[in-house]
Amino acid sequence: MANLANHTLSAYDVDLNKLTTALSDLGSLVEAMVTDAVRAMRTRDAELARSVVHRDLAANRLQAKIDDDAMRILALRNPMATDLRRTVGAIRVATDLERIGDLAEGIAKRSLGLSDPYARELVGGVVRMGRAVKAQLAKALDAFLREDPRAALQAWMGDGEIDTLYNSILRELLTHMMADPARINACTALLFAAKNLERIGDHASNICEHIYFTSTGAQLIEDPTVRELRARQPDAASL
Amino acid sequence: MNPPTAKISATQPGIEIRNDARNLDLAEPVAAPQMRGSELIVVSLFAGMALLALMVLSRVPVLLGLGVIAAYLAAVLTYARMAISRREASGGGALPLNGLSGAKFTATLSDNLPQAVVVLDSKGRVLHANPLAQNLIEIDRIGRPFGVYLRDPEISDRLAEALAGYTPEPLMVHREVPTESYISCLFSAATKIEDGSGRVIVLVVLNDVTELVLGGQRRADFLANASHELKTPIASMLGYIETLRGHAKDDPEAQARFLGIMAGQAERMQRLISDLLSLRRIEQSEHIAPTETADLDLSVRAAIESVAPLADRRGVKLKYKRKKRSIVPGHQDETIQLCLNLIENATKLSPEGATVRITLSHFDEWKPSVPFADGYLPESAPTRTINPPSTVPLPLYTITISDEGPGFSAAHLPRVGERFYRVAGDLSSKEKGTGLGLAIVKHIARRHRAGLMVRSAPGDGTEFCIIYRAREVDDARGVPIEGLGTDTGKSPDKLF
Repeated sequence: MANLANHTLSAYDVDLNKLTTALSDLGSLVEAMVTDAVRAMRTRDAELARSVVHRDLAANRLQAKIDDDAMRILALRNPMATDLRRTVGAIRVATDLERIGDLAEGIAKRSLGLSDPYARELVGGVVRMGRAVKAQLAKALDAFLREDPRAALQAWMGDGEIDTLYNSILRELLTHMMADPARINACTALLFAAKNLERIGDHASNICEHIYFTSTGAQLIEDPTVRELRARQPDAASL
Repeated sequence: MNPPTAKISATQPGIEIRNDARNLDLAEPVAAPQMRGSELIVVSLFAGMALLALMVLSRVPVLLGLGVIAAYLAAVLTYARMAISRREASGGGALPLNGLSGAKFTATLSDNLPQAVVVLDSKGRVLHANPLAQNLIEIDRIGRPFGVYLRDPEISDRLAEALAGYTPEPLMVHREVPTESYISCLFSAATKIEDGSGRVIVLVVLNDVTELVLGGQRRADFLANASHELKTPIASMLGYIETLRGHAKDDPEAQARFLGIMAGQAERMQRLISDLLSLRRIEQSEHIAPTETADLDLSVRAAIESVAPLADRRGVKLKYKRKKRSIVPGHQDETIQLCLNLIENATKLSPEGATVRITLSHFDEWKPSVPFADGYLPESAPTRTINPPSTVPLPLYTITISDEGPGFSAAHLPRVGERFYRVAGDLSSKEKGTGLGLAIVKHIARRHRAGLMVRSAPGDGTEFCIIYRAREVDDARGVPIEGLGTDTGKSPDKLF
């Protein structure tokens, strides 16, 4: 274990650490919101769904606080190089996390109206996708907090998996809707949840890109690995 | 903690244990002086009484006898007092560890605790983590906030509570990466460091409780899976038994045929149960990465040997291109099972006269071209990553298994590896599959932190690629270097 390089100003270091801690708090909050929103959908637990909706307020507040703190660092400390990127990265990641909170809230709200008996048998795909998205988000946050660009790159490449899952759910639900119009109500709600999950995955990818930039100063899509990947699979450009 | 030391200090007065901080033998030496003093007095009183009895029996003059006893008692008491004062002079009756500085002692103590411990400062930054904690939550640097390593909405509140001087309720943190696990966190109330600086620390004790939490859930899953999957073969056997008792009572030809079918069903149930049991065993240990080493070449060869009779029967050729030295961190038996399941699957899916190609290769580090570098399918074949490979720049081994079977369409890809999922119309139902083989492969790969990828082109075949992170090998001696990836050799002197 290496000692952390100390800044000349120790108060400044404390500020940056406070920012990291706040991001960890916000990250874990929206992670739990995503998990609970999907669980509420599966178990049709209205209480849990309402608590997710309620927690979105806390997420918004935390994001505002991170914004304020980051602004203060920018204004008072005039950070340079890595510190500047860290501070700006914090603002961006907080925005993405706040959006993820909104999307989880959307899923929770949708599950409140989902009293359809069909939903129970069709929810499996969404639950599976929820698990994958949650893992993706956890990986992105781990990489961000540990400032590990390799881990970020690895998590970023996992997004294709979620897209595949989304497409397979889409096909499955369409088949059900065509087979039995009575299921359209349940299927639409699930489709909405799947779409939100897919966008949560996109925000997780954004977070990965921010980390990559924060710790290397270069853009992730210009990483030689990504270039090679794209050269090999042109259709992966939509990753 | 260390019985031999305790024994020595009880029998030999004034023995030096001060410098032996590693024994952490705190209770024994503190109590020892009083214990020894009173014990000596009791023992010598008994000895004196025995002496008196002896003298009375042997009729020694009374005055002389009393004189001898008084002298004896005086000698014993003086000796006991000397022993006590000597110990007090050497240890002062206080902790025998006062020769150590507080920080170093704490670090040594925590490093040897059989429990993951993290020390935080008043800002919630990690000051110290013992090796167990470093491994459990992958702490790679000190000085960062604790929230970097363990995320939970409650952690900040618990820490604030601890810093305010309260002992917070234990907290259970659910993690999904790298595998699903549950970690319980116990925060101590903030304690002042006794160096006059007034700084405070908070101790966090971490416990991996995954087994406790997931155990019950997995038992329930296991029962549900087992009963669901056993229902069909049992129903079919009951049907045949009915027929054997009724219509086919006097038809030896039908009897022989039905008994054959029943034997087949019973065998299927047996396979199913053994697959379910091994799946459960692997799942149980999934959150603990293997610490031993496995030889991939050996595993592939063992798997090929077991599949060879089946391949002969089906007229399928098994071709193996290999790399001689292929030591990876892993469990040998599980690695064999992983290869066996994949090669067996490929063999079952291959038409007669087809070839199953198995290739073991080595790469210096991860690149997007590593997966399926030895594949035979066109690049355009839809690919799925079941377990993501590790992309850290370390040497890798890949095992690629290609068959020339019917393949399957991209629609099935996302569900490959799911329990009991069978691609409709595939041969596995004809060829005695349980639907668990790939699930077992997936869980073994996950436990080994190995990547697992699949791609398939309908009509051309299916390919699996396993990407193992190689342990770095010392080329001069060809032996694996121990302890790669876990840096535990840090000095505790730099603490605080």
